[in-house]
Amino acid sequence: MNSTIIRFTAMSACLDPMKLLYVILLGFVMPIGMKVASMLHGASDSQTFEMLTGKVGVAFVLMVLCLGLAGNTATQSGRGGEYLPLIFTRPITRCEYVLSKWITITLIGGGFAALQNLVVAGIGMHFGETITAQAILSMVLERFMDAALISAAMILTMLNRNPAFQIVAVLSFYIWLAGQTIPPVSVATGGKALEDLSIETTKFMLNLSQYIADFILPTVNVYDLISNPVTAAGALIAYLSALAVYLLFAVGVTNKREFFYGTN
Amino acid sequence: MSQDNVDTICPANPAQLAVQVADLVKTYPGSDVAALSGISLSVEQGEIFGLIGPNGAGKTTLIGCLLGLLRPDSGAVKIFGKPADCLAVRQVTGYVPERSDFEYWMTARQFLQYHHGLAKRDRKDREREVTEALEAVELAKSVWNRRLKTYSRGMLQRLNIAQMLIGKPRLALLDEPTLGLDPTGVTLVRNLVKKMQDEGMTAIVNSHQLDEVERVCDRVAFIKQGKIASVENLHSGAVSDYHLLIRWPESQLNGSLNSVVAQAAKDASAGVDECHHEWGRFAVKNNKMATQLIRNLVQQGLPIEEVVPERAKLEELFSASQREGEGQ
Amino acid sequence: MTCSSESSSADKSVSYMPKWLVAAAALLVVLRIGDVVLSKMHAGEPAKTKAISWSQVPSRSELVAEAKRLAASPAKPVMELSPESQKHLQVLLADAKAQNKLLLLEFYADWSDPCKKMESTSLSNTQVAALVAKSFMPVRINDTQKQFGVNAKFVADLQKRYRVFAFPTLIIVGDDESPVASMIGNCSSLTTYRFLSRALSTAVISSAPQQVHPAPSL
Repeated sequence: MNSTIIRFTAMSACLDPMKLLYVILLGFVMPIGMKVASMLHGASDSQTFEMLTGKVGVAFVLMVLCLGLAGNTATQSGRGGEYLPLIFTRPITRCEYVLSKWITITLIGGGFAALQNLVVAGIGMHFGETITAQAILSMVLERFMDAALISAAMILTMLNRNPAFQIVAVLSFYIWLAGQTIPPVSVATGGKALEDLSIETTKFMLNLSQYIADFILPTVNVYDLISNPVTAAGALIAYLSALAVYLLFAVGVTNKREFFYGTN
Repeated sequence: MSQDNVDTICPANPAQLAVQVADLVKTYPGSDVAALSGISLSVEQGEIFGLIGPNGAGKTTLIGCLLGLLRPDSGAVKIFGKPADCLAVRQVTGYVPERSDFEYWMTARQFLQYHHGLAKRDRKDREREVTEALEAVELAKSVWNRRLKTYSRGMLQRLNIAQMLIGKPRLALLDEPTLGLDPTGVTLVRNLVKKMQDEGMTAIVNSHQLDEVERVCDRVAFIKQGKIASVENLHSGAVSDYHLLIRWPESQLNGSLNSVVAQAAKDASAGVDECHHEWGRFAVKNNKMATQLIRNLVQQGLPIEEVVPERAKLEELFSASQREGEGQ
Repeated sequence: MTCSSESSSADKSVSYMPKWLVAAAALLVVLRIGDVVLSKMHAGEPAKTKAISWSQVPSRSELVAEAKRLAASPAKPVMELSPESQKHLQVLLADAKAQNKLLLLEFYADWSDPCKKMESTSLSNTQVAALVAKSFMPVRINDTQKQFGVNAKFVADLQKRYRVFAFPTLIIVGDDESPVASMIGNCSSLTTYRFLSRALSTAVISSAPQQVHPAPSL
């Protein structure tokens, strides 16, 4: 919505050498390495690989991009982010700022992830995997959708300075991350007897992770959406509602926020 | 958007007060002491208004309220007649923050381009205005395209000033603008502010450098414990009034010394505090009066040897005000 | 330039909240709540498509009968397969061997969304279905804990034996009742195919006299 913000956020993402290095290593070198290795050994893609080329990979890339975003109120010198107290004295609505940042980060983060997916798919095809054009399109689209939702959640977390909220948000993120190590499952409800502690703990964690995933980061399987729109409509609504709520709150929180920047 | 809004609020009406603050009260959450407890002041267009006071007095809070960064608990802030968080007001306001975080990968040029765009100024003029601003703060051309990581404190502060200039503000809020600057820089800031005043800009300066404040400002407010202790006009009144200590050797005027001195002072409208055999103390209102007094005395035959001004500087008023408070 | 009168954009505050954002968020939240309510109402319904013909253990009528029986007299928990369950399992294994196929167990639950999704995606994939038809005997072990509060004894025993804690779980069982390979969760068609074909090649190597045809490459 505000082209200056968009342009300079994009510059920030691309021109900062540290960010670039991180993204290249985690986003490209690792998954490509893993894909080549699994192709050479005839093994199927590990869950870690699925994670790095899926939502988790997107989340990592976005974390790097969002790092410079929040802007400090009590400043310490160092690799500061944008100095929000100064930015907000300019004629720019907070809504414009939040939405412009969100769009740019989504496009760049999603773009990186989509590119990575394409490269990895290319490697697969080179080694003889078959993959349809529809599947590729779904993958790319899905990365952008993941990026949109995850970046909205991250932006909200970074802009909302309420410490309780931030703790809950980060904790939820880690639990979600742990849950991503297993493909989508339903957890078996226990019998009357308590089973092995390890199984019980796993079940508990999985349940929690699933709740969090459903509630906070609902996913849309774009392939399903394209091939079977009616059944995927529910997932799409869940996704869009979460996205809208995050953006609304991000703007609201920024509107309410006061910027105290002086010495005490 | 830009030009229209500037004209909407940059008045046709020169009598419109640039800043009008009425009974501003602000307490920070979690603190039981009010940062601002009922501040009222008004600043006219084209005026340079100083804010001085001890640390924690509430000056930064006041500036925060003027910038729309803080919301006062009660009271009103009007800038050019509009509330502080109005977009049009933001357009014509410039701000030099006390501390600034910079994106260290940016170059000075990019930083100013960023702010130029944020201030919604015309793209066509961007290159030219960025260059102008960089030249105005006297940053060496060689560093314009270097990353901010390599900049010294003084250079960053100059860039800070440039960022304020680039918006071509009608109201500038400067929070410790000379912090980190060497003496050349300090002079630079002074000259810039004066120049902008000539072009019609209004400014509010918060500074601990009392001599700079004296040189630049038209009026100064003492802020203490969230209230305005006093407002001094630097062009007339206590601060501009000063005393002259004049010495002369034994002279032929021995008998008529007192009457001669009294007459000379009367002609110059100056006051005589003391008059002794070889020295006298006089009260004058400004330099012109001082010159007149000295001329009169010399014409009367007094062989003046030495003239020493005693200024009731801001500093003295400041510490007097402090002591007053402590005594309570 | 003449002074223009108050234009609305000039008076906009920096803290302006756009109406469209609020409206969109409100609408979507309402839709979401509606969707959740609707899906809770349809919770118990089984999946619609069946590309692979699983022989169901236990069948639906058996399920209901046994569940009622067990509810009346709950069984004690065991870690190993009870004799009856072991016998049942042996029967299944013998069946599979006779057909020259591997026993493929799917631990399934009607109410499980991932299970239904897998049914309609990976398990409906033509290659996967063909491979299963050719080299596996598919048996679906239905969990009924959620609907009826208890599981059929065989189901409960198998779940414990193979440490199943989530659905769907695919387990390929070897001759000695040990799990040759397992795959947890709603995985993609490719991953499922690879899982099945890898297990097949391991079985080919380990069981010399029995000829089980290796899978064609995908």
